[in-house]
Amino acid sequence: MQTETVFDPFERSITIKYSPERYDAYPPAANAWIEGRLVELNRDREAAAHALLLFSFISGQFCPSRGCGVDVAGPLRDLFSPRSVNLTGVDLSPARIPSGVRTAILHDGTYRTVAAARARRSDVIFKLSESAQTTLVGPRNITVSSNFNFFSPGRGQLNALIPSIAAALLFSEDAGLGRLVLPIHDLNQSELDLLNRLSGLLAAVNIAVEAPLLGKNLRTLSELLPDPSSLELFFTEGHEYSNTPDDLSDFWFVKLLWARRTGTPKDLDEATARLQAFSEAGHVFSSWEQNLIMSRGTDAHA
Amino acid sequence: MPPLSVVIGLRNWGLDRLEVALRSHRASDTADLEIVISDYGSSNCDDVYKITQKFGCKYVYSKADVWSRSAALNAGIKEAASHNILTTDADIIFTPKSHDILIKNLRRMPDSVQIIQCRDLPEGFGSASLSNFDWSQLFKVSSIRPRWGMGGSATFTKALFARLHGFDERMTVWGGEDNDFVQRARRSGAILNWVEDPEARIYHIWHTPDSRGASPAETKIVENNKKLLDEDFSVVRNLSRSFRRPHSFVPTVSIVIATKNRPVLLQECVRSCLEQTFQDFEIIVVDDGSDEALRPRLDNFNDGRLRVIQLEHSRGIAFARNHATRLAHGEYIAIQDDEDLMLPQRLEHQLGSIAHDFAGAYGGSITFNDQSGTLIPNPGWKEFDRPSTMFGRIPAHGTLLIRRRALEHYLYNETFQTNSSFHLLNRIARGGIRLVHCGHYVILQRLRPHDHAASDSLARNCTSAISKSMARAAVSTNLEQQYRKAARANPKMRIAASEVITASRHLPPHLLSERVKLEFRTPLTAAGERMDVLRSLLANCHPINIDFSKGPQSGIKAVTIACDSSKERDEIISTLSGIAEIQHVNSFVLPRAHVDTSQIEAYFEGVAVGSGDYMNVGDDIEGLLQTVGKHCSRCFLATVGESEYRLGLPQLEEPVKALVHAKIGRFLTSNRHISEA
Repeated sequence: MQTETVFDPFERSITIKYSPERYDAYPPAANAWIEGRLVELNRDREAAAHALLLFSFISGQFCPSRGCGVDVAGPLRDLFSPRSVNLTGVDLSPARIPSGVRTAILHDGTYRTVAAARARRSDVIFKLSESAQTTLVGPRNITVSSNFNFFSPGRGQLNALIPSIAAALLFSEDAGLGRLVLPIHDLNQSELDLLNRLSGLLAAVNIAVEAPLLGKNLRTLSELLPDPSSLELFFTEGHEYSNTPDDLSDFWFVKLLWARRTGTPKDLDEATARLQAFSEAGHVFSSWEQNLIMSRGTDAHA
Repeated sequence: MPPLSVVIGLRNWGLDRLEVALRSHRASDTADLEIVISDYGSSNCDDVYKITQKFGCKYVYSKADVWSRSAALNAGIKEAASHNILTTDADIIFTPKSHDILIKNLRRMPDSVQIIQCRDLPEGFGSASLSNFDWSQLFKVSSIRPRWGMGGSATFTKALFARLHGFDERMTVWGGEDNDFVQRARRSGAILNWVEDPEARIYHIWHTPDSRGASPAETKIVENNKKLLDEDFSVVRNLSRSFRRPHSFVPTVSIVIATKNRPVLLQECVRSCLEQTFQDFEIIVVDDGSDEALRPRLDNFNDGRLRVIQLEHSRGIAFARNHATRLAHGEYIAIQDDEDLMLPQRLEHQLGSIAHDFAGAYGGSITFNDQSGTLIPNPGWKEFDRPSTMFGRIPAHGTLLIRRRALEHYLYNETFQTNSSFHLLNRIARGGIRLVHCGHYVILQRLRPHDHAASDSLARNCTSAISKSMARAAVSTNLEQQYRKAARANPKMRIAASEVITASRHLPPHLLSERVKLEFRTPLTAAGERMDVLRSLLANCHPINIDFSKGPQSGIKAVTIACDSSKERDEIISTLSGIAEIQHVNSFVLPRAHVDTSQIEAYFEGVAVGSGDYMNVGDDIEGLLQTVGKHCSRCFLATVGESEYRLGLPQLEEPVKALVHAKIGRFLTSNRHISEA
């Protein structure tokens, strides 16, 4: 896959163009874009962002638009494992790798974002939006208007965040980011493997990855969540296409955990019933969540 | 469910090699492998069957005269129970860890085709010498086969198989079908991964080379397969075939219908869906809180593909559609409105038009008035892109067929009471998702007078305005101007008017009327008793199209008459056979609202206005037809009053038209009319 970043300063937009090669899949859209303007974009972070954005479509060979430095080449190749991907444009000469001091939490609209934000203080909340007209960049909030999320490699808590990580990498230098907080709690084995490889890649471009909720037990997770009624605005803002938080499985998950924590059986029954209905209606839960629903809020892993 | 189904297609195959290949699969480290042997017409099928039973395989036999590896594999996969499929040949052996590695890779990369590079065993390593497998020795003696084919195996999910709808069965014998499958997989978003794990190896058992391509006929087949591979960029194939089985069916398409309080229309709609020429679909009906239970009305269809989901309370059409998307299993979603009718080839046309990296297709719609039956064709805009959607040139939403993945990401906005589809299409276009016009009309769109309440209309306008302003606000005024120009340059699709006429035959029966065309052996002269018969038919509300013949035997060559029943048709035939010998009778149906059959095609071409003249004339049809017959090839007559008829003339060249008008002036009873209806 050959990639190219095209900047349009007049429209304040950035397009990632790509050309699939012999073994690559064709990505689902004509190109990937973000609204906004980047002042600084490090070559290695750009290559890592492209690799993550097109992660599930690359096979055989990856040619990032401006190549990459030797320090990032190994982790980039490893990212694709068990695929064997050749990397072109590797520059052996030493080059600056930017550093940052700020911590961004990636906002995916789930209850885990709330818990992760309470578990780990962050400087910036970073979010991708498919429908926002323009990108909003402020000192505490970055909402990026983009179609990146459509390139998500599949189901799963980490997979859903991969496009956000790619976008955060592109903005990282301008926003002074040095650390990303991922709101992930339970991953399957292949996502855990991916998290390891991903952390290695980001470390090579001076970005640390934290997952403060990963593997935490039910009690810890429950204690990180506030009263559900205080989250209605959060869920309304985070889910642009939903009429009411009552239609969101995440909202009912918080209610389930809250009911369990406060010991109110009626609320527990209601939340369990609603979540079971979500499951029957095709909502996909992680295995831990599914077990929790089936066991009426009892942590099967505890 | 087995973790993997190994599917092997064969015909008149060496049983010794088959036995060795099966032994290698059964020696796999992966327990519970399912092996499906798809025998495509072997003459020694009894012997093949015995071997398959020895190794605990599922045996599928297809009667066939010509070997087709594609068809054999498709028949085998249809019977496979696992969601993971490994297709291979009966002369390939696998190392014990291969299956497990393939399964793990597929779990990590579900959207992929996994290929293990084949190694060829040399002469002396045929089936006879492979009584046991010394893998270390086989590796040493074998040679690697270059990557120009698929190396004798391909592993993928059943979902991918459903998305591509199988190996292309136009490719007969063998050669090219694997490559073609992989290229289509890539276009649909799946990678090709060459497994490089040293524990996963496959070997080709040595045998004397086959004679493929030796004869002229075989050379032609090989060339044909190559041509398909090189020149056909479509994704979904075998559209007239079905790979549906009750126990392991992954639908290619989910037809989703959101409905509320329209049980009778929904029945018609579902019936039209079930009559599709492409049959590998499921139908999901989401009932958005109807007053009356819908299920009993749909139970009569007794079709396992139909799922009815009842929402407890009405939540709006956007919610119902998002709900349906979450429940859908098909790789593509076809949006269908509950009051519309699918034309029989809708899915076939749309799936067949998806090529390259297009995520879906749309088509033209034909609006029909549910009371009068008048038809208005809407061919739709040729291109789907951001400029066009921004300026309102969008596809008819009810004609959309799109990858499920797209609708899982781009949800309908449930906060919009109405017209969320317009907003959705704008966002999809902005997202860079590519859709293609399939080049055909695909639905009959029902128009019911007084359909939308005023409040609905207000909400529609309001949400449209929001969508438009959101789309335009995202770009600079300069770019907006460029987009405006680009949108204006997007033409309407050209679809043959004959499609409208064909499509009209699928209108609800109450909007159709039968026409019978009678050709006379000898042309009738417009005189005497014969005209009385025509008068009588006209008096009984039967509009008539008349064809004239020229030359020495001039007169009425044929008449086409509308009739309401077969009994009436028989009466008309009987009456007319009393006045002349009938040479040929042809019956067909056309929309009741369009009575002049001669003008119908021109009307749907959009050139009808002004092309034909309609005028009211008196009751002297003898004189009228004698005059008209001299200059026109045909005309139309219908009763409009007690002693008045309506005459329709075809498009004529200007001098002829002036002459005819001058000659028939004496028959006119009122001013000339121009429009048909």
